[in-house]
Amino acid sequence: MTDATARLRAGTPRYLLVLPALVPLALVFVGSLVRLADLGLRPFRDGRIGTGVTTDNLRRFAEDPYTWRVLGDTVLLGVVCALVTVVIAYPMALALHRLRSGALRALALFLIFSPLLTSVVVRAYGWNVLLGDGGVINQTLREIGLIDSPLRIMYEFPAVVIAMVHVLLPFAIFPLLGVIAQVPRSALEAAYDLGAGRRQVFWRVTFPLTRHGVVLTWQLCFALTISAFATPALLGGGRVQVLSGLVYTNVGAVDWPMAAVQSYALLVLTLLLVGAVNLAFRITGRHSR
Amino acid sequence: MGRNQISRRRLLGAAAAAAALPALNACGGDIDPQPETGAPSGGSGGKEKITIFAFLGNRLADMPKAFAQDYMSRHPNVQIDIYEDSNAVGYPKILAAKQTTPDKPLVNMGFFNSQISAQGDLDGTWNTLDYAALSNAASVSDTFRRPNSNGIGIGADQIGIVYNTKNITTAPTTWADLWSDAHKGKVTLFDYWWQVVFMAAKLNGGSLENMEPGWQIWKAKAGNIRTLVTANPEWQQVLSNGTADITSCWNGTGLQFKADGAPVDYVVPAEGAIAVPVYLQTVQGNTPNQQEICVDIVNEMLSPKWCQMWAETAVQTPANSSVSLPGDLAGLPGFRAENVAKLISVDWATVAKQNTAWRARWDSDVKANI
Amino acid sequence: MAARSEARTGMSDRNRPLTIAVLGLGLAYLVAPLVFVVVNSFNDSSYGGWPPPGFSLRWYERLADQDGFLSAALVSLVVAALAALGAVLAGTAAAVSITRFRYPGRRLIESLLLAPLIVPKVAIGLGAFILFLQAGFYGRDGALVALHLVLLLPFAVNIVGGALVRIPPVYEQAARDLGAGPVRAFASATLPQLRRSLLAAYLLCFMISFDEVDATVFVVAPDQVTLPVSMYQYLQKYQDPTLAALSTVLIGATFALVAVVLATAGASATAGLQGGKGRTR
Repeated sequence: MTDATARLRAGTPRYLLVLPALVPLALVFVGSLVRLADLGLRPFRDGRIGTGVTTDNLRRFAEDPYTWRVLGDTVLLGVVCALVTVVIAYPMALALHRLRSGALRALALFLIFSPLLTSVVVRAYGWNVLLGDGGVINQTLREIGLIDSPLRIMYEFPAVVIAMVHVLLPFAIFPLLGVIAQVPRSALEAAYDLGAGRRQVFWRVTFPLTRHGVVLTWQLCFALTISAFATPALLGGGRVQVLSGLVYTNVGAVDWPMAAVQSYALLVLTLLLVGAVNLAFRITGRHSR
Repeated sequence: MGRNQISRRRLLGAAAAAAALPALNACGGDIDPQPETGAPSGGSGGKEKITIFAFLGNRLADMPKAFAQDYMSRHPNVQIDIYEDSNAVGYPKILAAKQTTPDKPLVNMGFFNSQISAQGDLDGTWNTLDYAALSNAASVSDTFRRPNSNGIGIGADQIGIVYNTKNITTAPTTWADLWSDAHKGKVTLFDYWWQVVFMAAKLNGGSLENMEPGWQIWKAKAGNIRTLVTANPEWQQVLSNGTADITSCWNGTGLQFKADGAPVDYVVPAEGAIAVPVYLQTVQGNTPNQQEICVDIVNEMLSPKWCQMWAETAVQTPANSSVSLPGDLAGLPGFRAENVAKLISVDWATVAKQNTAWRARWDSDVKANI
Repeated sequence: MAARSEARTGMSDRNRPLTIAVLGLGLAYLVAPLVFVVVNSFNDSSYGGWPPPGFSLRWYERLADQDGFLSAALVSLVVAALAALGAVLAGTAAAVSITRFRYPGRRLIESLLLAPLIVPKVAIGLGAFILFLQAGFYGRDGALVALHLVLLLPFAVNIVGGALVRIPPVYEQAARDLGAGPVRAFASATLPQLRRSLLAAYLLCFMISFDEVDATVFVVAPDQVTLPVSMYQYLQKYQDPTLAALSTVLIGATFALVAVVLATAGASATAGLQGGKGRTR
């Protein structure tokens, strides 16, 4: 065996192993993004896409005050939905982790996935029956005399949060389950043996050891929220506008250059927010240590 | 601690990597379109394949499908495929195909509404038709012909008012009802429904070229809107369950809601409904042979038999003047002679050109204030 | 002492009331809108009027009359099965590479693998459509699988990578020392411990692909619609509760599948969904 082949055996596999994933990614995803970037640099005048290269679309994007309002709403929705999701998903994941019965666990996992088995429009129907002006919740509240006029939940911000969190939960519970399972049992046992109560063990051991996973899940949910358009469109009634919704309408209205710029704006937005959270996490982490 | 699944820094890196991709564009270069493999435009003894774009809607594909069966039985060398899709997804795909593979259009011909037809004029999507060469065009009036000869009308839908008959006892009579205080918080509209802005402008000294009076009214009366909808089932649901009582809607769609049993009805306001012709278009990039077949199909579809079927299934005014509608259709508000005479025509070229600006105004003046 | 901590770490056989209550509330939230969907599928009203004026099975009859859904469901099943398989295989290989080795560019690769999570799917769909057209790839089934595979990769890398870092490489090292090749060492020492996570990753990927519509709607050719796309298209045509019936059938079928898997393979089959618990020490 020559030196060269020896080096090949030792060095190549690590790179070769990534190829099955990287090749389709480079061909399809990067290729699509490159096409998109190309569109973003094309002029759009009088309702048609022209030829040549321009930065007009960036200017159009930046100078529209409505865009900035939507950006604000998008961030707010992303932050709130991700937060609510994590707050609900964490105890659920913990409970699921502690669940001893295999059959119950399977049933719970099935139910967690069940939202993915229906189309978003079909789900929206269910939410309307439940949350609508004449819906089950409003009617019940009215009958027991708590309210006189219906609560406006549907087609407002709360409805979007309720429905968004609903579809985010499977994506949050999964990674959290993994993180919680990573907490070494020996650490828990040691804490108990040292006389700590349940509450103390949770806040002193379990939670600190899973904190990074919580932040990561929050970030994942944030990314998923701000790239969703169907749920905000169907339950927000036009009051809750998100950037990906604008992308969708612009694709339909052939204003692809703007759709491309807005897609990249979403990327940058995620970049900034995820970066900011990382920074904050590192700073608070240093303090607590 | 540091060995969680994806680290936060990785996610940040992911965003950074994706954001950096435009830079690759400069060095990436185009992927050349591959030479046609197994081109559908046979000719070598094979069948000529024609794809017809049809509206995705209740019975809107019935006529094209029945026609295709009939035509193929008479022309064994032609194979017709029907491509059903919504305008919002279908046209972008047609346009993208035209720009990337100009000699291989996604569809060869199809049914397109007025706005998409005008958009296609801007994009150079259509072939012109020689009206003189279409034998059935003789009975098609000028309102269904296009000044630039891009396509020809087969029927016309219209946009008026649909309301909840349980919650509104006296039927709305004017477009102004939509922005009247009587219906505060009880109006629903499909998103980007510029037609109501146009009517508000028209009733207050404006026009399609001067929409300002309409924008002023809707900016002030945006509170009338309970919700903007983005899908037909949602539209029907909010109109029937008491969320909203009144909307501006297609005749065909409104009557479909009614046929489903929803407590709604379509009315033509005193000022008239907005006429929205549907055009048959042939698509640029067709081979001469394909274009010849498409023109033949367009001509046959305009014949009384098929034009009548289109009018009945789509609930539209037929373009062929020799078609007589059955009684149950002719008695509907949208088809009564006095209402047909009042139909409002719109310059769709202006609509297509202004579409982007109007959507921006809709966002900032209407949506931002509801 | 050990018994006491066993009990308190929640490792006893008893389901604590709090555990059940938390889970019950969360699951009630998840199920709430779906209950109305299921009830609506038996609604006699054509537009889903609520409360239902009467009950009937006619939407199930109508569902049976629609020939499009069955073929679309088959396309979806095949695409989801292949894309999830590809994503898990490629994702596992990539996860091994980035968790087991240190080399320049590793972090960039890891970041790139997660990037499809962040870009709006509509935008990916439009870009991919143009790309496929240019490459003469449009309308091929492979195009759909490739797109889904890429959208699934982040999830596969995430789950499998997460499990890999918990499996100490010492066993694999030992196998290598005993003379096994790298593939055999991995297969005999690491793979068995990875089994459950692979199953979890596959299931999640399958479900995501089976549900994906935002990007798919742009990329499909008229003759290759997936189930969510055909549901989307049905909704543009009709507003009746047929889709509620379809959703109910899907939920029922999945439930039956879960039950069958449980009955045959036993509860341990689902333990993998816990993220490979039991190897945490």
